[in-house]
Amino acid sequence: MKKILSLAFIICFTANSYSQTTKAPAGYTYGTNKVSKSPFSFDDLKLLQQSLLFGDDDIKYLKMSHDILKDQTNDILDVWYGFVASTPQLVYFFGNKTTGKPEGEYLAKVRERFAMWILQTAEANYNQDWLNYQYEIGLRHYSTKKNKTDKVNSVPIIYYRYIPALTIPVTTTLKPFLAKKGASAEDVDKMYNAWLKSVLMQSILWGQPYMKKGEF
Amino acid sequence: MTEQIKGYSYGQVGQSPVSIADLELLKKTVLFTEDDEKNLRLAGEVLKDQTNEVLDLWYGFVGGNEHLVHYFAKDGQPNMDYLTAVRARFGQWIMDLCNKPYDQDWLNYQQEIALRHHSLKKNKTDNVDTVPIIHYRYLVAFIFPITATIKGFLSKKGHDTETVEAMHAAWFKAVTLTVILWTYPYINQNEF
Repeated sequence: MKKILSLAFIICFTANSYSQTTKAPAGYTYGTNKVSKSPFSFDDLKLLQQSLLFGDDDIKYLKMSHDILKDQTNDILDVWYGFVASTPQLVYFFGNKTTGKPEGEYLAKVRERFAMWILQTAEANYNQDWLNYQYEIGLRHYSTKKNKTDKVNSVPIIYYRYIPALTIPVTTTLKPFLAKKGASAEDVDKMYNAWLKSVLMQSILWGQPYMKKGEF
Repeated sequence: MTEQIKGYSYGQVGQSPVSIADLELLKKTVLFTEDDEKNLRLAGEVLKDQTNEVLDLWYGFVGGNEHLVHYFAKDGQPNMDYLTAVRARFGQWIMDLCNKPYDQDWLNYQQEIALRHHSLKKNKTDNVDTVPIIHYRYLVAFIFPITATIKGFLSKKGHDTETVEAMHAAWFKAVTLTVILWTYPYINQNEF
């Protein structure tokens, strides 16, 4: 309980101090030479999209969501961080390796990049840079790079199972935000579905470092 | 009826490496509640005489994608016996997803299904010779078509929109939970 309260404090604090800015957040390296090439090919990405029934319409509806979401990222992150805060098995991954206490600075820095991720998901611009960055995000959940970007002393890995699991709370809680700017119920549904596919697709890609060789 | 499905061995398989306690935490993470259980039971009622049509649709989807047919094939030739044998168990899976309690037996059987997608047990149940493994990425990707296409079937028995939505949401959570458990054998030790 104490842990949750202190986390709630951190979240409130970071929410107040955080302002949306065009400056890239610390550790956000999309499109830079700090990101390695994804081992997954663009052709394979196309087949994966096909398997997810992800098509041009989804790109259109993701882009439509961009304008709707761009000034709501703080509110969305309040909800998502609130969910994490109330879910001890998730707070754990932001905890200090020694004390178990949530690392406030880590949470705050991830939060800024998380806001960028919302916008980037909505931009739906699938090129090699995008693919490479999914790999980078995967590595940052994984023992290879977790904690390194923010130089924190937290637990060494986010267990794989929670990555695809988060697709549900993330997309479920996003839906009301998609509906807040007067889009029709049909458009909201289509944006929601496009988001669902995109988040699922990304969580699949983030899983790559966890897989045994040749089994991805 | 259940006993007649070849290779269906619910309740007679090895122990899952995932604990019931971890399953409960995972359920909470996908927002799975008692209401979802009730809605799944209702979905089970709605779907029980539609499983053939559901499978026609799903098999049609697989059949229309060469990169998915691949997993039922060797040297590009689909194995019809394999497709048929899997289909019978797939129908039972729909019913089990909706009706079974998610207890130790259920958890154990998810591990068995996982192994049957993985090189550890793929092809063995039906004694067939096809590619040795279904790649992880398609296992998880399948959550979407399996979920999107079920909605039409859930709405076929006259339930109001709200009830259909509730059944659909429960189905989505259940499929996600299940597929996550199926990835276990693919993941490096201690990283699941």
